[in-house]
Amino acid sequence: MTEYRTAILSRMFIVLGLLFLLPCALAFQLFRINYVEGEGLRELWNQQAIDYISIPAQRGNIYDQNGTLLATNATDYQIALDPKIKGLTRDQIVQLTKKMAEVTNQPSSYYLNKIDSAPSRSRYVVLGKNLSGIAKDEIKALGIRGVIVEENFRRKYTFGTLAAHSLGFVNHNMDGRTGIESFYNTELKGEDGVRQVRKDPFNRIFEYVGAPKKLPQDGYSLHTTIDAYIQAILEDELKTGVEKHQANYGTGIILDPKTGAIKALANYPTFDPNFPGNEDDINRRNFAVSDMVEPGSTFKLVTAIAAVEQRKVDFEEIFETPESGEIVIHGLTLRDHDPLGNMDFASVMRQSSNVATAEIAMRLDKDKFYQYARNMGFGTPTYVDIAGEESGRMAKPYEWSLVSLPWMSHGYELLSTPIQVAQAYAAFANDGLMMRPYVVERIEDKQGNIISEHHPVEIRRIAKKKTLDALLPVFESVVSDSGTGEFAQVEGLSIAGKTGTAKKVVNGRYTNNYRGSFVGFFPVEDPKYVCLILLDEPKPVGYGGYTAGPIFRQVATRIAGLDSDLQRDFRFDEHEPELLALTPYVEGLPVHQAEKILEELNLEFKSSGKDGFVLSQEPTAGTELMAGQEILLTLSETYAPIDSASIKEGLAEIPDLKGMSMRSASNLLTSLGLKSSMIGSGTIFAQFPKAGELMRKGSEVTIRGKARSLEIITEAGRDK
Amino acid sequence: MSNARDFNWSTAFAWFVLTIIGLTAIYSATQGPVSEFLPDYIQANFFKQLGFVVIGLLLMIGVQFVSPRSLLQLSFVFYFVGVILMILTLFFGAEINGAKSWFRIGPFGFQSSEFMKIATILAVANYLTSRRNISAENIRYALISVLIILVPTALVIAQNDFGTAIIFFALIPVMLFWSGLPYGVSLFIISPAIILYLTVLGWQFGLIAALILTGLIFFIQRRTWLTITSFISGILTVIGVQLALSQVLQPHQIARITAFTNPSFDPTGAGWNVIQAKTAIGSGGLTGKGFLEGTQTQLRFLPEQWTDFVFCVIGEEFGFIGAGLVIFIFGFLFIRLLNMAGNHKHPFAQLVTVSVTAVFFIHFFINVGSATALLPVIGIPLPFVSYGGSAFLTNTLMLAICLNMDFHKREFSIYR
Repeated sequence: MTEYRTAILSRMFIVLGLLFLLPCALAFQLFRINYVEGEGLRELWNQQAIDYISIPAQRGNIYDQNGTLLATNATDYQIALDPKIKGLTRDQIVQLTKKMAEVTNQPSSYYLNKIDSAPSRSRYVVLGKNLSGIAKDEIKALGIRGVIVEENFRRKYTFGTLAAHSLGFVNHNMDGRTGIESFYNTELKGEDGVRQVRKDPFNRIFEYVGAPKKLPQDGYSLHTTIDAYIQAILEDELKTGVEKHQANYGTGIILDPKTGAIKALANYPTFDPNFPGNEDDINRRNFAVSDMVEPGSTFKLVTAIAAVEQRKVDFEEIFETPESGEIVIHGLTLRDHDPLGNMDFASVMRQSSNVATAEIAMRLDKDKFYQYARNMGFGTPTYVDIAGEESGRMAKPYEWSLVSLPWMSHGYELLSTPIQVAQAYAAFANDGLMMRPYVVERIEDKQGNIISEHHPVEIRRIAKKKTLDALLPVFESVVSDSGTGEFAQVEGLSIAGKTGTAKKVVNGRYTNNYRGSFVGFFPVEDPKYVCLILLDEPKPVGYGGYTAGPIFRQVATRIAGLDSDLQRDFRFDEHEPELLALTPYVEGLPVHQAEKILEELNLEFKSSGKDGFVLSQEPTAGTELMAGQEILLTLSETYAPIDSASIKEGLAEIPDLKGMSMRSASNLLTSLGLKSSMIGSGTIFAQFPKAGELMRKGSEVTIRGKARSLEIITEAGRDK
Repeated sequence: MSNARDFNWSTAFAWFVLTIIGLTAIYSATQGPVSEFLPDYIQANFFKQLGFVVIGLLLMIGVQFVSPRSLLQLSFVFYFVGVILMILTLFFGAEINGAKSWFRIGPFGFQSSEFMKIATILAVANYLTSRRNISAENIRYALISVLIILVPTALVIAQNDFGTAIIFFALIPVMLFWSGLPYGVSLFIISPAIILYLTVLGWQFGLIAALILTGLIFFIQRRTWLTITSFISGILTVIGVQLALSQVLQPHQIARITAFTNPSFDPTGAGWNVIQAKTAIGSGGLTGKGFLEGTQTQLRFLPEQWTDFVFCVIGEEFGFIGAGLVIFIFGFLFIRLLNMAGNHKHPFAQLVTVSVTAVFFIHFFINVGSATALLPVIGIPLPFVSYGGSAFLTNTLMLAICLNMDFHKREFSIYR
C-alpha cells in the first residue's frame, strides 16, 4: 500500500512538473508578445485598423489692393450616412432620403436603394456630392444621427483669366503650382485637421471615430498690391496690341516705383486658372519674371547713368557718326537703325544711337560699367514673391571679349528678365533708390488679424540723385515727337522712358526677328507708375517704339483716367465709354456666395431659375461691363458637373490619379465606389484603366506609384 | 450520502469563472460592433452558448446524484454506443468546415467524437483497473488499451477531424503512463512528438533533442534495445520530417508550416492568422482596450474568434492581465484536479481524473499555443471558453464526473 502510494506520488510529481512547464511557456510567450514584440505589433495594429485621414483646411483668399476677391473657394458639401448607428430608425432614413430627393434631382428611392444596397458592414454610405450650403443646412436641420457632412473646396478665381500669371493656379491637391499660389502655398494652405477612421481589412473607410482629433486651421488670406482695374486695363491693351501686331506673346508690368509694389502684371496669351489644364503649357508661363532675353536699347540707361556719373560725357559734346551709320569695332560691324549724323548726348538717347552709345561706353572702365549694371539689378534675381523667377545672366568683366563692352552698352551679350528692366527704371524714377518688387502686402488670418505685413524693401541706391536729375530730361525727350518713343506720348501727361528693339537669337544666330519693348514712367514730376511693355516678334516692323509704344500710351491714358491724382492735369476723351468693372466668374458657385461677390463689386444682376448654384452667366467672366449693364445668372438646384449627371447608375468614371499620393488616390477611388490595387508607393505615375473610362463600381483600379523621380520634377519645373 | 461540504466547490467555481469569461468573449466576438460583419447564424452563437451553459449547469448538478459505480459498470456500454454513433456519423453525418463529425437528430446536432472522448476514457480506465493483475507494464494489456483508444481515433481521422485525433493520440501515453508503464517506455512513446516539434523549428534542435531523449531513456531504463530503438526512431523522425518538408508535403501544407516558423513570409496568406492573432494580443497591452473596444476583434481581423481564437479576443480586450488570468485559472483547475486524483482510493477514479485533466490540458495548451504562435495553428477549442455546444457539454460532463467521483470518494473507495 505504501509502495503504491509512493509510486503514485512520484508519477504525480512528474505530471505536475510537466504541467507547470507548459503553462509557464505559454505565460512566457504571452509576455513576449506583449512586451518584446509589442511595439511592432501595436504599430501593425495601428496601421491596419485605426487610420487618420485629413480634414481639408480652407485655402486662404487672395484680394487685390482694393479688397476685391481675386481667388477664393467654392464650398460644396458631401452627405454620407452611417446606417448602423445606434438609435437610427427606418423612419429617419426615409425622412432623410425624402429630403435628399428634395434638394437634388434624384428620387428618394434612389437614395433608399443606395443605403439598402450598401454592404451590410458599411458605416459610411455616401449619398450625395456637390450639394449647396442651403441643402446641407436643411439636411442638418433634420437632426438625424449618423449623417456625416463633409466640406469640399474647389479653388475659384473670381475674374477668370484676370491676373492669372500673378495668381498662379492650384493642382488637384489644392497645392499652388505657380505664381503667388505657389510662393505663398504654406500660408494659404493652412493646416489640415485630423480625423480618426476605422478601416476594414481591405483598407476601406467604413466608420468615422468620434469627433475630429484636430480641427483644420484655415489658411491665411493674402492682400496683394494688384489693382484689378489697372490689371484689367493692362491685359486688355496687351491683348489688343499682341493681336494687332501678330506677336508671339506680350508681357506687361506696372510697378509703383516708390515702393516696388506690382500694380499689374500680365502676359498674353493667357489662361484661366480655374481650368489650368485647358491651355497649352506655354500660356501658363509667366514671361514677365521668367523670360531671359537680351534687353536691347532699354539697357542704354545703364550706359547713360555710368557715363554721366563717371563724368565721361559732357551734355554739350557732339558725337559724330559716319554717314553709313555703321562702324567696325574689332572686326564686328555695329549699325544704327538709320544713319543719324551728328548728335549731342541727349539726342543719342532720344534717337537711340547704338554707335554713339558704344563710343561712350568704351570710355568707361570695364569693371565700373559692370558694377553699375550689377547695382541696377542685372544678373541677379529681383526676389519678387512670384514663383518661377529667373535670375538673368551677365558675364563677369574678366570673361568679356573685346567687343563685350560696346555691345553690352546697347543691351546685347547679357540676358535679363522683363521685371529686372522694370525694376531698374523704377529705381531711376525713384531718385535712384531701388525697391524690391513685391505683390503681397499683407497676410491676414480668418479673423482679419494681420499675420505679417510687407514693408517696402530698399535694395540700394543705383546712382547719385544729381546724375539722375540731369538724365531725367534726356529720357523725357525720348517720349517726344523727335524721339523713338514718339508713339508713347500722352497729351497732358509727362512721361520718361526708353524704347528697346532687340534682335532675337534663334539657334545661336541673330535673325531679323525682333523683340520690341517700351519702358517708361509717369508723371515725371512725381512718378507713380512704371510700365513695361514687351512684344515678341511684332509685325510688320519690330521697333519697340512703333509696337510697344502705342500699347504703353493706351495703358497710361486709361490709368490716368482712373487715378484722380493724375486727372488734375489730364483730360481724357469724353467719348470713350467708362469701364465700370469686369464680369467676375461666378459659375458653379452657390447662389449666396455669387450674390455676395457681385454685391461687393456693386454690380447689378438678375437671376432666373431655382436657388442653389449658378449654372451659367451672361456675359462670361472677364468681359468688361459698361455702366448700366447687368449680369444674367441662370441658377440650378444642384451643381452637377456634366460628367456625374450623365454617368449611368452603378458606374463610376475613373479619375486622373497621376501625380497624386497613394493615399489620396485610394481615398478618392474608395469614395467613387472603386477598389484600388496598389503597386509600389510614392506618387502615382501610372494607372489602369486610364482616366475618363467608365467602370462598374466595385471593380479594381490598379495604381502604380514611385518616388518622385527627376523626370517628374523637371516636368513640374517646366510648368513654372 | 455525502455531505455538501465534501463537494469540491473551488473547482466548480473555476469552471464557472471560465464559463463567464467565455461568454463575455463570445459576446464581444459575435454581438459587439463586429456583429454587422457577421451572418445571423454566427451572431446567434452567443445565445446558443448561453443555452448550453444552462444545460451544462443542470448536467453538472444532475451528475452529482449518480453513483460512480454505475459509471464504472456502464463504461463499456458507453464505449460501444459511442463507436456505433461515430460510424453512423461517418455515413449520415453533416460536414462542417471539411470535417464530417456532426450527427443530427431532428433539430439538434452534436459531434459524436466529443462524447466519444468520455466514453473512451471510461472504457480504458475500466479495462486497466478491472483486475488487480492488469497493468500497462504487461505489453499485452498495454496493447489492448492502445487498441481501445485507436478504434475511435481511426474513426475520427475517417471523419477528417485531425484536431480531435491529436487529443485521442495524446491519451495513449497519459493513460498508459498512469497505469504503470515504465518511465523510459513512456518517454519513448512521447519522444517523437517532441522531436517532431523541434525539427520543424530547425533540424539541429530535433537532432539534439533526439540525442538527449535517448540518453534519458538509457539513464532511466538501462535497456539496450529500447535505447537503440529510441535512437534510431529519433534519427528517423528528424530525417522523415526533413523529407516530408521538402518532398512529400503538398505546397499548401508546407505553407502552413512556414507560416508558423516565419509568419512574415506570407503575411496576407498563410501567415495571416498567426500575425493577426499576435497583433491582437500584442496590441492589448497590460490592461487591454476594453470590452467591445478591440479593433482586431470588432473588425474581424481574427479568424474564428469565437472558437479557436477566442483567447486573442480576451488578450486584446482585457490585455495581459485578462489573458494571464485565464492561464492562471486553468493552472488552478489542473492542480485541483490532480489533487483530487491523488486523494482517490480507487484506481478507476484516479485514472479517469488524470485522463480528463490531460484532455483539458492538451486542449488548453494547443489552443493557447496556437493563439500565441507557440504552436502551428491547429483548430482546437479552449475548454469552457470557446463557443461550441458539444465541446462545452462534453467538457462540463467530464468535469462533472471528476467532481462526482471526488464527491463520492468515501463510498467509492470501499471497493478497493
